[in-house]
Amino acid sequence: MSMRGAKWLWRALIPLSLLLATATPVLADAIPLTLQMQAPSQVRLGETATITAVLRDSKGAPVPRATIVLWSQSSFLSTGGAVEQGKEVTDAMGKVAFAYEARTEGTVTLNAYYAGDSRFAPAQSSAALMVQGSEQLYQESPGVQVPGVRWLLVGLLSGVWLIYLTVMVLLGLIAREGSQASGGAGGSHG
Amino acid sequence: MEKVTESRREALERTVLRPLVHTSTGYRLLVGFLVLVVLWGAYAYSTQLQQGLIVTGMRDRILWGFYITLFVFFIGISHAGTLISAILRVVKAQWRTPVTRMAEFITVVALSVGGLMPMIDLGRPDRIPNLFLFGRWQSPILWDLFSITTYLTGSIIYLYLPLIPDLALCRDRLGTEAAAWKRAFYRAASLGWQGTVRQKKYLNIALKCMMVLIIPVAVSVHTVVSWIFAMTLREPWNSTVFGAYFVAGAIFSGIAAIIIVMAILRRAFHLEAHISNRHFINLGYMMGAFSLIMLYFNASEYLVPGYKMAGDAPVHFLQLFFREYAPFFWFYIIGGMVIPGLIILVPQTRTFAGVLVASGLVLIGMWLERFIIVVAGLRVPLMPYEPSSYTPSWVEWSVMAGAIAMFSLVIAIFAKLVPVIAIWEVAEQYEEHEAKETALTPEAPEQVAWPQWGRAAGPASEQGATSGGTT
Repeated sequence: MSMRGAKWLWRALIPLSLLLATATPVLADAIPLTLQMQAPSQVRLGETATITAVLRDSKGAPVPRATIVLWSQSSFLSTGGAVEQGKEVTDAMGKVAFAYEARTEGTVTLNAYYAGDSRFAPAQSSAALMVQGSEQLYQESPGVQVPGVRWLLVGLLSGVWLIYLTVMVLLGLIAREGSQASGGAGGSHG
Repeated sequence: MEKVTESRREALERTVLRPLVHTSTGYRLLVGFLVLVVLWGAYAYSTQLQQGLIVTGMRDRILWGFYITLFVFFIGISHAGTLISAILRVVKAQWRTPVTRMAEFITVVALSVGGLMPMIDLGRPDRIPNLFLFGRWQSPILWDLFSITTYLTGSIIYLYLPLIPDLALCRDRLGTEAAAWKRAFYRAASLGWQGTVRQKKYLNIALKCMMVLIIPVAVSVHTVVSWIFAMTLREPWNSTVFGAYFVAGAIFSGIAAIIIVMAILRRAFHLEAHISNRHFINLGYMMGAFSLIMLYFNASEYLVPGYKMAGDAPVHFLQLFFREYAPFFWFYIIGGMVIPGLIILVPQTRTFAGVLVASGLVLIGMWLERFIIVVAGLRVPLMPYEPSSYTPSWVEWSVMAGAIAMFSLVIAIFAKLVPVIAIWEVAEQYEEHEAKETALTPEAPEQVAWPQWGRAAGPASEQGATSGGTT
């Protein structure tokens, strides 16, 4: 396994370890739950996908008023880890819905997680989402657009260089005058 | 009285032209030492090129260090010259004449060396063309590129214009005493200057254009350099006065640089008869005035955000006033501004030596100020992470030493190539001074503005023709 792979595995193990650690006290007599996620198989970059999850107990009965966290692995520059994408409470049908905006091209693994409580055991589920597209999502726009400011700057700069050019022409005239004077002097000496 | 002027001019020419044909052992040793330091700096840079910026102390959080500090410092010094020289010319300050040439040359050399620093900082110099290929109008980096290029070009022209009559003098007076390549250089660079009426007229127009134009160009350069910081999202750089603050700091450090270079060249070339202590004290007055302006800017810069203490300002103020950067900061404030100001203020210390000490303190203080702005500014976290630290590596120390040595080396070489004092301007000053002394009505400035030497001397030259004159 490459270093990068090992790093990702390690990062994935952290939330799992946390899950197990927090779950241990309630495991003995907690009711096991199932968390089922539904997500579109693919989505365009920049579009918002609806991710749903249903929490049920072992008999298939919905579990209402349970907090479900949607998270995924993300990285920025040299740092990375589990990033919470949303948090919702299940309705009477044990269902939650998240609006997920796809901002990264490629396959994104989304995870829904229920931490459990004194009655219910923790539960987690994952779904893969293929994000397609390559358009630039962020377009910079100036807060205030002053019409023609660019051309004003170009004009100023050109004006300065035009004066430089004029000075160069004057230097040329000095040189020409010098050569004429030298010629005259040579003539007179001759 | 005409004879007195003539003899003073002769003495001036003899003293100023002498270093161009005579080289001492001390000079050779100095140049050898400077070359060695430059080579060491080049070796350090080659190490950086081979191994990447990892050999420096810069990292992803404090991403600018010595190189950008030096860049801002040298650009500041560059204001010494052209700006000060242009201002003194525009206001016709009589004492300026022995100062302007050195000042103008400091500008060109400091800009050239300073301009190298961002390229060294890039780590990948092969990406420099990207600035032109993919540069964006919205980026202050691109503005900086344009303004520095424009300023450098203008400064070279402004240095060259008043050199022309002196280059002609070198061509006519040095003769075979100078090396063949030097004679060829003087011949080509003097543009056939004969001092004819038309040549003087053209040169006067060119000089007037440049002396007026170069002032706003110089101001724009350091303003744009300050915007590289002020327009970046960093708490300590959120300032609307950065432009004026940087320009004032540039002139302040520039004056100090002129004083030090002038003192060294006066001593080395025995120019005491033409550069008096009065010149140093006059420059000291300017420096003293700017120390007050700088104190005002610093009070404004720190009092306003310090009063509000918004955002991450407390982190910045703590590190500046009491913690990591406190020694640097307080040296800059007290050693770099208050003490130099006091030295100039107190008559007993307002001497040549005092002004020299004050200039040294100002230069150190202003370098520290740039370091504080760059490094302490970047140390304040942009996101919720622990403040980082920056320790320059041997590579950065070596490159900095190499850059300073290169600055000194080019000045040392220049001093052996062209007169370090504008002879024609000083001669003109002598003539005017003596004309006043004898209570004679001076002729119109245009008529007396040019000393008459070389092949152009004599009445014939006034009619636009040449004469055998003094050749």
